[in-house]
Amino acid sequence: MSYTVWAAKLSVVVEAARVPLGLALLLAERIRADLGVRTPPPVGAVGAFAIGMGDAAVSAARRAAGAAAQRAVALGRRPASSAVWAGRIFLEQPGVARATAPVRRAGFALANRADVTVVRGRLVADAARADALAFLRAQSDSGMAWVRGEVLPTIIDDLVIDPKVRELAVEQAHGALSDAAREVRHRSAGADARLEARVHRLFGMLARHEPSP
Amino acid sequence: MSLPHEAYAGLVSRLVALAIDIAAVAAGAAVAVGLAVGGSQMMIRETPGWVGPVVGVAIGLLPVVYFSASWWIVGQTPGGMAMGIAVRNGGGEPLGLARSILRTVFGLAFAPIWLLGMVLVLVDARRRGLIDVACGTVVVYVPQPHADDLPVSEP
Repeated sequence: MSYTVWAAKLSVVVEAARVPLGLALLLAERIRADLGVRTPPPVGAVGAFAIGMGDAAVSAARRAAGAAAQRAVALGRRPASSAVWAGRIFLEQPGVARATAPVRRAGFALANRADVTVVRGRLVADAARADALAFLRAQSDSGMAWVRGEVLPTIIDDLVIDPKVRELAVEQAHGALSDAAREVRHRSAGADARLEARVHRLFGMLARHEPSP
Repeated sequence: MSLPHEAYAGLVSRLVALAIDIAAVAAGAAVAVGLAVGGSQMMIRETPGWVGPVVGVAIGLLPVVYFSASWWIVGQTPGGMAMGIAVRNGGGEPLGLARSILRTVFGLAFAPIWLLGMVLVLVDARRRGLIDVACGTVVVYVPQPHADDLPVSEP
């Protein structure tokens, strides 16, 4: 198997693994949201995941580089303390500096590689999340199309021929008509009383029968 | 029977109910004419001469049967049902057949007087029109069952 074919197959595997990774990230975001866990925005969570992967890569690199390289990296990163400061003074002596230069270069190279790995991990996580969202949308659309085309007509047919549903619909219509009729009667009865009162006032009749309010 | 003044139906409700009844009778007459003429045209492709008189008699009897049967059987015409009013005798009981026919014939024969006599509703203590005074009837509001009083059907 040539290197090109092997790389192509590996690329396919990596692409296929992005959707499950994105789904896992979305699931983690959803669970955290459901639990009410106060976390940074989703990108931050994804970044944290990518940083973890980067940290693992850095650890592996550090194990491979050996204890000397780790000490060099620590010297370059940690805040200066008096003891370290003294050590650095010693290391910066021309002779010592020349002797330890290869080790320090190797440490800086490892640190840079770790940072690149973290950034690359974040990018991969973002891309995986986007792929997962697109995958979910596509699946949702196809699922909704299937529901609209296959499931809903069957449910509607079942509802239409269900005598209980028909009875409910008839009761609803009957209730609406009853309410409308009751309102009409109420208003006409009020109009009866108002008209009678006006006629009594018009002709100066004493209100023998005061209409009820 | 003595009811409070507000228990008797007023002029507006009665006129609206009467308008509904007139519309129903007119619709029934139109259907009768349509069925008789259209049916004869469809079946024998002509309208026999006797169809006209028969339909005329039927249309003449239609309002009599409509009002008499409604007041006698249920005490309410369809218009009265819509407006929630009913015709009762002086004792508050439903009308008998004879009084129903008498009220119908009196009202239809003297329809203008029936309508003009409605003005009496505005001043009468029991809101009676002229036809009510003549026939010994009253028109009352039918108590409406409250929604909470309706029986609940078993699931």
